[in-house]
Amino acid sequence: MKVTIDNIEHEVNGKPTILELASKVGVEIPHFCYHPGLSISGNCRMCLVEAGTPKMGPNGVELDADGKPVIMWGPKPTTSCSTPVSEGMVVKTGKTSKVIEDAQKGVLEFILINHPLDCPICDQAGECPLQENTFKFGPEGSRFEFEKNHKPKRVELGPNVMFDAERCINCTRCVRFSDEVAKAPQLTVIQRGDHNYIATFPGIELDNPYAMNVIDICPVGALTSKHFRFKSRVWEMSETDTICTGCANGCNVKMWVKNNEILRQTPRENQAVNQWWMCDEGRLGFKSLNENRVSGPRFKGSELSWEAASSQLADSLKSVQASELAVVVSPFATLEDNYASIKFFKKLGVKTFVRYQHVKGQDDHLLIKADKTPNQAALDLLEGIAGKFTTGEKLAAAIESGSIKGLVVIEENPFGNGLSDSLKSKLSILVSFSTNWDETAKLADLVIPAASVAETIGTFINAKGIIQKVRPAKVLKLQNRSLMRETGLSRWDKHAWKYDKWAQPTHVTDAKPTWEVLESAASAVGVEVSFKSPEQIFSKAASEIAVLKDVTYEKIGTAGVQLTSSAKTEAVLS
Amino acid sequence: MISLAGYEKVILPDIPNLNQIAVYEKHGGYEGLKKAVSLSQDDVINEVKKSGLRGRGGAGFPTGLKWSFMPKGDKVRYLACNGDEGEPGTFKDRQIFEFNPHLFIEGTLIACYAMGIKTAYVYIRGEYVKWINILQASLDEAYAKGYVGQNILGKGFNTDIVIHRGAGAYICGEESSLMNSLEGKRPYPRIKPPFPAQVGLWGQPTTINNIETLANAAVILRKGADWYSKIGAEKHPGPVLYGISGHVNKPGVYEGPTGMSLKELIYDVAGGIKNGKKLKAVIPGGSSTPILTPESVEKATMDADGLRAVGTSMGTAGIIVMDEDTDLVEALHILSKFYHHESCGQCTPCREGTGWLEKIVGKFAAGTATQQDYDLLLKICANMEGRTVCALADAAAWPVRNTITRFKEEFEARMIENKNKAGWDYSMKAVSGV
Amino acid sequence: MFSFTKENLQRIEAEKKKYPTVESAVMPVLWIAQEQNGNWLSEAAIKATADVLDLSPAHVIGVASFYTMYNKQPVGKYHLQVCSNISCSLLGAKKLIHHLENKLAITHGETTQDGLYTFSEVECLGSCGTAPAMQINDDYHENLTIEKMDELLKGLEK
Repeated sequence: MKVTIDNIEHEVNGKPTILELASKVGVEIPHFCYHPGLSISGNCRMCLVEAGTPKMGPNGVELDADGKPVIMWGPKPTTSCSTPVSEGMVVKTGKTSKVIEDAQKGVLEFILINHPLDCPICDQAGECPLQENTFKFGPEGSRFEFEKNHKPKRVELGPNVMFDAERCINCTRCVRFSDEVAKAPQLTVIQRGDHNYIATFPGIELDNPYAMNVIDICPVGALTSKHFRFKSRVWEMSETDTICTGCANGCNVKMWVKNNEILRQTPRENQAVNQWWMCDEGRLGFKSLNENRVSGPRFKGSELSWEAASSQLADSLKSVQASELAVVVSPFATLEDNYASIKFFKKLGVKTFVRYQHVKGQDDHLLIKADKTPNQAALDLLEGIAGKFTTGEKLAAAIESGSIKGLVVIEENPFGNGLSDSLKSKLSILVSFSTNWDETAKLADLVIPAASVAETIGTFINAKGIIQKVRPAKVLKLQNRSLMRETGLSRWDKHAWKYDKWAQPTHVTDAKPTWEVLESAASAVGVEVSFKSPEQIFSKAASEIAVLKDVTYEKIGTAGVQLTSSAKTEAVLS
Repeated sequence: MISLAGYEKVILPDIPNLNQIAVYEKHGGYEGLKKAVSLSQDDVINEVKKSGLRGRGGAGFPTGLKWSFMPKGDKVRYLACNGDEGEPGTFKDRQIFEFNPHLFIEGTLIACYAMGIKTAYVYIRGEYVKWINILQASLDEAYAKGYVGQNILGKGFNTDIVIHRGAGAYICGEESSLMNSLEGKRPYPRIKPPFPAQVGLWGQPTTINNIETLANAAVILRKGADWYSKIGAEKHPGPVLYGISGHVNKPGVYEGPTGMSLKELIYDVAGGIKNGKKLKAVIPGGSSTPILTPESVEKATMDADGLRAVGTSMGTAGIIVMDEDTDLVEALHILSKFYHHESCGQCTPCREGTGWLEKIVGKFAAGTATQQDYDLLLKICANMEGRTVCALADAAAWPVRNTITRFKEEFEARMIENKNKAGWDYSMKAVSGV
Repeated sequence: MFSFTKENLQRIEAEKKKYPTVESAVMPVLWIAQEQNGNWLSEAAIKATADVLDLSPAHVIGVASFYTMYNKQPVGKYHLQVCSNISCSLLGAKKLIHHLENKLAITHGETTQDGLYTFSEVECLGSCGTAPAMQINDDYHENLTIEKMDELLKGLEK
């Protein structure tokens, strides 16, 4: 099928709408109410185009004097979001049609007459479709000279979402999202005409697990996050394409950072993983990446330099027999950290590798997985290298019986997951590589601060078997060069200002990726390993695990790679 | 020249107690239905097509053609009878409910038979409690007599008729809004296509007809399409209920043939202008239709072509007459306020434009408007017309556009610059903010 | 708190049967709720409507708030709804409204202190041929004059 938009002919497959086709071929049609993940509403009238179809005569398509089809134009502009293309259709957008250019100006003028022009204090400014479309397509000024309508402001719709009814342009994206995607019809439009605005039923909160997505899809600043309001202008932050590690779904996200502090996390489109959405729990999970962090190595409560920590690690490991040492690997850590740990400790002679499960509730209809860990699937693959993992219960029994005397914990928290504190006294050495001050870190003799998913690079395999990469949104105190290459930068980071990531130590954690620490202690304990960068570690792992054979960091990119479904069974030993 | 002389009333005949089924039957009632069920469904639709009946709800779409759009087959389908009657100047359907409810019921049954519909919903505006009760009583009678319900007239044809009460919203007279209202949703008009004949009530094929249109269908089957098509204007034939209101001596609903001269209706049928005043303006078909000057009234006949010739349309045939003392600025202000109040708020241009129009017309009413305001009104109208899902934005823009252009001098006289010229108090200028 | 009477629950069941979906019964059930609740819809009445139809309360308040005839606050014993649209205004509706407002000392949407009258200026009632017109609760009163209106009010006071 051939369709012409703004005098350029396109070959079309399927039956997209005009708007879908335009966005595919790179023609911009401004819109507000349309969202690819929601039903069509057609209410904003911003996406109007002129559309015509070839006139059919008795002998097929009628041709004009130049041999071109005679086009029957519709009587009035049509919404491109709701109109499917058809054979020979000719479309004019505002670029080639004065009528549409005027219609777009008209719609924007209408929207703005009752919209508070409070962009200077609005969180949405800088990422606001209304602001952007007005800049590109709008009138230069307003001819409206009356007092604007007044509506409720600072309405708490729920625990996480604030609402400003005066900014609302009634696009109903949030209502449709709640009904259609979250399946939690907690929002409605109330009143009518220009008194319209969205609301919940009095006394009922917008508190469904996906509520905060309405903030992302709101095309104006009507819906804002209680956790982010007035924290930063959007252009002051860097945005890093990474993934959420809150459960086994691995939703694609952007992490937004200012002054090396994560201020918010928003979903990033990935049709195979999370479409356009993420859950609120995952979204707000970033707080543990900012707070309560282990910063700087410690031994029995005293701070150590990294050199001292490295030799202390070696001494601690040498103080017990390898056969009496157990290593807890982590479904929260990267494949690279787990692989490096397993390789390191295998070479040291360790036989006992322990893995914990973290299952809570059930998978829901959309994204939330009962498995609250992001990387069990990677451990499944590594089991082929580590040997069968031991459970937490068996570990407890082994410590109790005295067969295990030393414990190394890699970014896990056994003492917060069923391992009794009293067993600590039976251990002659407890080493913990920890991101946060959890129960295990607090009990450990040697605490090695570990880089979190917000500061490192590494891969995670989600419940569907899609391998994805985390990228550093924050910097560490002693930034590793191999991490810096992928660190998300804001304009300000590049040009230096007082809030750039390297400027002040306020929110900088003194931690290192676990693989880097292991490598630094290797020669002291007589283990020969070479861990240079996450990518190098990954390629080593890929050479040993069949299902990863053709996977590279480049292929994973920011969208991930679907591993073959037989992933678990095909793991091979080197 | 089409005139009331010799016209025989069929929609609202002067027969006492016609709302009672026995009286109705005595005067040919339900004969049309009997005729219909003796024909094939297609023959009934063809008869209606042949009659030339055009919808009486405002848009004037050919009824038979509309019926023929319903797909064939076993799909569940619905009829929605539009008795929302909210257009200012329109008060005809309530007369049918009150004085000839069975004619409407009969027409509804004929439509259901022709289109294979098993359920018809009668949407009646919420204020019409009295008429809902009258219709319900008549409907109960018709059920008892076996005209409605199961195995109608022993022909194995089943149809239920359900009355649905509105609750005060002009937009529900728009057919797709009416469907959403019936479905219990917020009554926002739907994007078309798909049209109701494909995807209507509850996703099923649906036809929406006005109450008066369905009453006409009963007359057509009773009297025949040939008889019907000879009444009134050739291309827009049939009886029509003229609702005449405003400054006339005898306001009311009058049945006559289409194509009557507007003059006859005002001066003869409705007894002329009150208090011997002169005519200033007429809105011929409910508040949305463009207003006419006295010169146009002289020429106008009440049918689609006759009214198009003078730049307006038939609408609901609700004729609003205004005498020489009428303040047209205030009249327009009332209408603009109405459309602002009734905009559902779904589409941007209508939601925002109706309020803006009202505010600017309000400046004219207050005497603080300027030439810029006048020009701006026309530009806002242009940004509203044809830019929305339904026609409410057009309905709001047309009265403004036509009143301020056709009666320009009245609006110019209310501009602040002209007030000053006339030596009026100029202190208002501060209010205008100019 | 609001809960439907047994009798009204039966009426609601009958209304539900009239439509292919339960959602469609929301308007008739809101009417029943308003009637039972003294001619207005409290939040509790709207919630009860949602519950009895298994709909989200947000949806039901979205519907209820759209229509003008569902009263969102208490109204007096007599709800005086005077049309001020075009045909009524041509024949003096505005004068009637001023008269009424002065007489009862209330304006649009207000209720007299004794709870007897609520006045609302309403859009076209479909009484253009018998203008000016008003509705007192459900009843139409047409061809109004100031005198006729005074008489009507006198009749109500008794």
